[in-house]
Amino acid sequence: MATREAGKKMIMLKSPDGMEFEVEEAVAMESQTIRKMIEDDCADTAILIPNINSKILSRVIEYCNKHVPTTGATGAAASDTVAPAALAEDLKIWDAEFIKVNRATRFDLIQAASYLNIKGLLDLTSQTTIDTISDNSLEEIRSFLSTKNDYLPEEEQTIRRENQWAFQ
Amino acid sequence: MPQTLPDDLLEEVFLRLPPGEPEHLLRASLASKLWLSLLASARFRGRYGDRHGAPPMLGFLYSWPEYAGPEDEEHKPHFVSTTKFAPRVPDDEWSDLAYAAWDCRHGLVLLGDRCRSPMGFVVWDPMTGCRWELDVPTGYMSTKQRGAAAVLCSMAGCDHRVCHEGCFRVVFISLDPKNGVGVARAGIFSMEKGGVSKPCSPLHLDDGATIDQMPSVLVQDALHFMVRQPQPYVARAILKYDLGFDSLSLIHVPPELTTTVGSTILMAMEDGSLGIAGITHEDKFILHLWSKQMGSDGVEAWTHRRAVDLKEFLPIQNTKKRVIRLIGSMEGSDIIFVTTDLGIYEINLKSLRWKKLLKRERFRALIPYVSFCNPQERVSTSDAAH
Repeated sequence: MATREAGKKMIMLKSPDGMEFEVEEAVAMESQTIRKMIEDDCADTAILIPNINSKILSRVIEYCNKHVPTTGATGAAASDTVAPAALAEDLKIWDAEFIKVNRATRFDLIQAASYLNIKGLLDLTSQTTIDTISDNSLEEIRSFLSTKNDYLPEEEQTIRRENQWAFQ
Repeated sequence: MPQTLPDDLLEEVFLRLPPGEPEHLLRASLASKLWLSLLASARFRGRYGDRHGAPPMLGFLYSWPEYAGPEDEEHKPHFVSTTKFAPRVPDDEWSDLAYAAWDCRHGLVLLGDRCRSPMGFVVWDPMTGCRWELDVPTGYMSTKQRGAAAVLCSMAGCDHRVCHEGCFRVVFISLDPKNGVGVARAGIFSMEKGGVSKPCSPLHLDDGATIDQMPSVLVQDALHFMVRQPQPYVARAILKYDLGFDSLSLIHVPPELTTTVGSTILMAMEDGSLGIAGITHEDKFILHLWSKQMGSDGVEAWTHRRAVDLKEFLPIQNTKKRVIRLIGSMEGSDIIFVTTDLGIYEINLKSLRWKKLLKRERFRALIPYVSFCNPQERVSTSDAAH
């Protein structure tokens, strides 16, 4: 659990499985959904986050902690000490490590990022799925995203023939 | 544990497929009919367009200087892909016309044959392969008239991101020398009406005025063509055809570009203004850019936007000669196309990023084909059989 730092407003996030996470308000507000709750004064001291279990919520908070502006890798103010390019590079490496998760966790993270409206996290989690679509065969894409091929063989052949360029 | 994503999140993921790599959207649409219906829906197309803004260039068409065209036997459009995209070209006969690209806009290509009288015109949709031959009345556009033509989508309320409905207008500008003056007229061929409208009121130009054989640019519901007038010396001007008012007018170019020594190109710029880029007679490598901006007095005037020394960053072999020609621009962007003695290049005049598109070729005009490549739902073969 996060420790309270002087002058920083803290907020309690609760997962449906009963876990509580105390986070800085600025970190929680990386989520546009939570930001709106806070700004509309709908948030008391604790906010229940439905549908997102503690395992996923803790990962989301980890992401937000890392990405909250003006806080660099070491927690120090980044603006003067770390060059923006170096910081961006550091974040990129961190993101790449962060997203090394199994398929189910990744799908959970996409859903959480979408519900909480965290653009960076949604971009990051979606991008890995985009890479799967870009780099794999149709059969692998179908199996990865569990979609059933309901084309008739001749229909598939026709579309492949007419759009040959897309399958080369 | 979810083994897949709900449809709305699948859509969220698909939205991120890069428009410049159109094969991915098509491949995904072949995974299942469910995905196809999602990707082909108007809702997805709208969101995809909103997210990515201007459609990407998938390739280009080109036209060549007179008598320097390719000597191939096939009279098919010359399309060069800059992505994996390959256009759908009907493989039945294209008759014996020597088609050159005249214009391309809203996903439609206008092809014409100048050597024939009356001129033959075809509108072609490279995405669907549909093709429409235009029945232009005899005498309307003849080889003597040195006219120009432009194509645009005419569907009401269309955002022009995916116009494959075959609703289009072709605007013909004819330039007819009569009684010592050049008389410009514009008429519209409308697909729905199937004929050419009554020409608008004529605009009198100098005798001997010509319209450059370059595509027009569409800015604020008006088409702009570059013209040359011989009096008192050969000077450039812009012929404007206002689609809403059905009227022609003449716009002066910045004085530095009035002479026809250097190369000049019209632009429909990213900020929505009319732009003109040119290499003046003073320096053969410095490109100047102006755009029409509204002044504080409420009058539009040319504003000099920047000067760029092209030899500083473009590969050029012979720096003694005028080797740079401006051969096209991309509507809705600050991108122009140039040839040097080493190749054909795309340059963004805002970021100054550039890339080589092709080895050196003799081009008159490079006409970009820009479009999103959203999959389309088709009648399945089994349905069609009934």
